[in-house]
Parts: sequence; C-alpha cells; structure tokens
Amino acid sequence: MTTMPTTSTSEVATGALTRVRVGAVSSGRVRVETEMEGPATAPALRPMLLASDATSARVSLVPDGAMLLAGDRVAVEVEVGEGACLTLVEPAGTVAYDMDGGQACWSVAITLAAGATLLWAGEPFVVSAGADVIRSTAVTLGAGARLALRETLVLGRHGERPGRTSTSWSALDHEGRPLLVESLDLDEASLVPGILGDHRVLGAVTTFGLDLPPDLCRQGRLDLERGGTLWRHLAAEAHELPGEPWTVSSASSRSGGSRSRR
Amino acid sequence: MADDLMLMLLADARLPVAGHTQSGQLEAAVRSGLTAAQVSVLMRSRLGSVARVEAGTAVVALHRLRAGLPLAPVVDAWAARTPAAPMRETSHTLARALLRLVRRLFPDSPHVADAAGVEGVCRPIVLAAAAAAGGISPASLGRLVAYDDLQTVASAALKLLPLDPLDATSWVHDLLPAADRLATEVAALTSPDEIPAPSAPQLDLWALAHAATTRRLFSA
Repeated sequence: MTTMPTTSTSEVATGALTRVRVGAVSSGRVRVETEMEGPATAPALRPMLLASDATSARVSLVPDGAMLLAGDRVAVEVEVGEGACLTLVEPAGTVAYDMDGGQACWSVAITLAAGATLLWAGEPFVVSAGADVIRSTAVTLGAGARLALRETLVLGRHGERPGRTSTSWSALDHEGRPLLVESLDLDEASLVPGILGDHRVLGAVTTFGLDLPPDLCRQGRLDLERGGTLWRHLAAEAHELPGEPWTVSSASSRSGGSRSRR
Repeated sequence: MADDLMLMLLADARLPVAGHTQSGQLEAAVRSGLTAAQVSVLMRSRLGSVARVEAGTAVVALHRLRAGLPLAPVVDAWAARTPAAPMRETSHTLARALLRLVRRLFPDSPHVADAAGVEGVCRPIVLAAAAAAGGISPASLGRLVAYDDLQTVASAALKLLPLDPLDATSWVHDLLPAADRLATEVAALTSPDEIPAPSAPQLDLWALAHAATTRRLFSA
C-alpha cells in the first residue's frame, strides 16, 4: 500500500470534499474555515461549527443526503494549526448500503501542525451486505501533535451478512517516518481465526502524542514502536466495545491541549 | 551452487535458532478455544497477514543490502506494520538467535555486518542478510519466510493438540500454493513504502494475551 494521502482533487468531480481547517493559535478567537466542494447532489458531510474560543473549536460533521451508496466518494480533509485543538463529532453513525456490484470511497486526510490536537470520536461505520467501500485514513503529525481517533467498523447490520471494505491507515511523523501503517480487507472471509474470529465488530482508538501511564487500560492496548497507542477490540455488537480507551485518551488529549496553552 | 541447498539449510527445523520456542500465536488461540480442525485456517490467516509483512520486509531488505542502501527505513516500515509489542519483541529475539548462526556461516559477509549493525534489527532483516550472503533470490526468500511460518504453526500444533503428524504436514502441503503466491507477490518490492501492511487484529490480541500469561509452553 501507499503511504500517500489518497484524497485528490480529481475525486471531487464525482463526490464531495469536506474541509475543516483550524488556524494556528494567535490572539483572539481561533480561525475556523469549513467548506464543501462538489456537486450539490453528491452526498457529503456538512461541517457545522458548534463552538470556538481562543485555542479550540468544536465542529460537527453532519451527513447531507443519503449515504453511503454505490459511486459515492466522500472525502474529508482536516487541518489543525499550531497549538490549536479541534474536536470533531458525528451526530450519527454511517451505513453503507447494498451497492449491487458498485463501490464507494470514504477517505480522511488529517494534517496536524506542531502542538496541534485533534479529538475525533467517530461513530460506527456499518458495512451492509452487498456494500463495497474503500476507506482510507492518512495522518501527518507535526512535532508534539496529539491525536485521539475512534473508529468502529461493523460488518453487516444486525443479523445480516458482512459487506466488503478495504481499509488503509497510515500515520507519519513530522519527518515523514511511519508510525502506523495498516491495511485490512474485510468481508465474510475475514470472520476466521486470526483475523476477526467470529466477531463482526472491530473497534479502534488510535492515539498519538499522549503521555499515557504504561499500565493504564491494558486490555487490547497495542503500544506502537515509535510512540502512540492503538486500542483494539473485537466484539459481536458495537455496544459491547469497552468505553475506557476513548475516555482515557480523550481526557488525556484535553489535558495535553491545556498544557500547551500555558 | 544452486540456491536450493542454502534454502534447505535455512528452512530446516533443526536449525539452532530457537524456532521451537514459537507457536505463531497458536498457543494463545488454542487457549481461547481454537480446535485442531481450525489450525490450518489460522495458518492461512498468518500467510495473509504477518507472514506477508515479514516476507515483504525481508525482500525489501535484501534489495537494499544488495544496492548498498540503509536498512533503517526498512526497520521503521516493519515496526509501523507490527503494532503488537510482543510480536516485535519476539522478532528481535529471533533475529539475535539467527544472527549468531548467520555470522558463523558467513563471517566475512558485509551484508551480515550491515544487518548486525542495524538498530532494532528484526528477523526478516537477518534472513535477508543470510539470503544476500548465500545467493538466495528475492522470490526464494519470500518462499522461505512463508514456508517457515507454516511449519512453525504446524509443528507447534503437534505439541498443543492431539493430532496425527501426517495431518499437520498435509496442512502445510495444502498451503504451499498460497505460500508460493505470497512470495511471487512480494518478490519485486524494493521500497519500504511498498511493504504490504495487512493487519490481523485477532493475532495481535492473542499476542498481547499470551505475553501477559506466565503459564505457557511457547514464548510466543
């Protein structure tokens, strides 16, 4: 797989690009730019500013139009400036529906400047039977940047066979060195020992830049080689995923963020 | 000399490189309920994930050794694709054991010296050094990694589950075409960025669980 962000302007022609930019901390209220590009009929995530102050902003990504259907290409670009803190929330989960042989794309590119913080509690992403989704997440972290990102993949709605999703994940530090690179091609064949076992729900909380005590929240905790932690849990239902990793990492991100403001 | 004799030597289970201490997460899997009938499924899961990362890492390291390029980016790429610390630690331990042997077999090889000098050296990089010193092709190196992975689990299965050894060997045999495909797919890789990164969430979780237990037959 490639470690380059997969978002490109050519994708905008057939889908929608959502951009959220938070400027560097300076004097006064932090600058927040939100925009959407693409045809008005294309499904998109509409960014809505909920709150902001001198150093932080809170933005909701509201689904606009029915999604996710065959041919949809949803792209999200997030940039957080030096020292600033952005919290992204999703009002609801996303369901990728039967695509009848078609395919959809969901790509996220995150760029964090030095000392920037992003806190994003993603809601469940459900891949219904017959859905086929290419998902990519590409993160670039500046020096001292912090990230806490929650992702929950659900293969099939309740009582349904899994759909298909190819996911790729990469996080690079400010020197371009890789911190975490992963791909997962999931479908019915992934419900085997070693991959997902008989669990259709894969939960992940990925954090970088947080100073977490080594004994905190040991279950499913994968401490990465060059800093960062990935908590991973397998479950039969999304509500069975433990909440502690997110509680711990979001609290640590916030306290880390306030530290940098002093 | 044809490279297959060197390959046989390196693939031999009797090699003094601590291979018998490894179960490829099978012990943890059995502890969590894996049955004898599912062992070959686990072997296939490994071929599609950790063995693929290891084979890709080895092949890219071999290219860089022969081209005189630094190995540190290969270690970075491998570590970023190996999120479970116990798996990384196991690879470091096996790398040290293999390095002792490879140094003895190829005392004058600059490739072996290069691998020995890499900070955080992992097993596929030492295997690459052995391949560079022993005249083994990238495709053969990929087959070696895949085959060794299959045999590691199959032979561990005989100690963990009541099995007919003929069954275990037939599982390996049946997965040889998949091992061959894996090797073919990674043979032409040259850049650390290109190393496949397939994740196996349950293997990672088993590796964590196994490292946390004291009652075990295999170290990993």
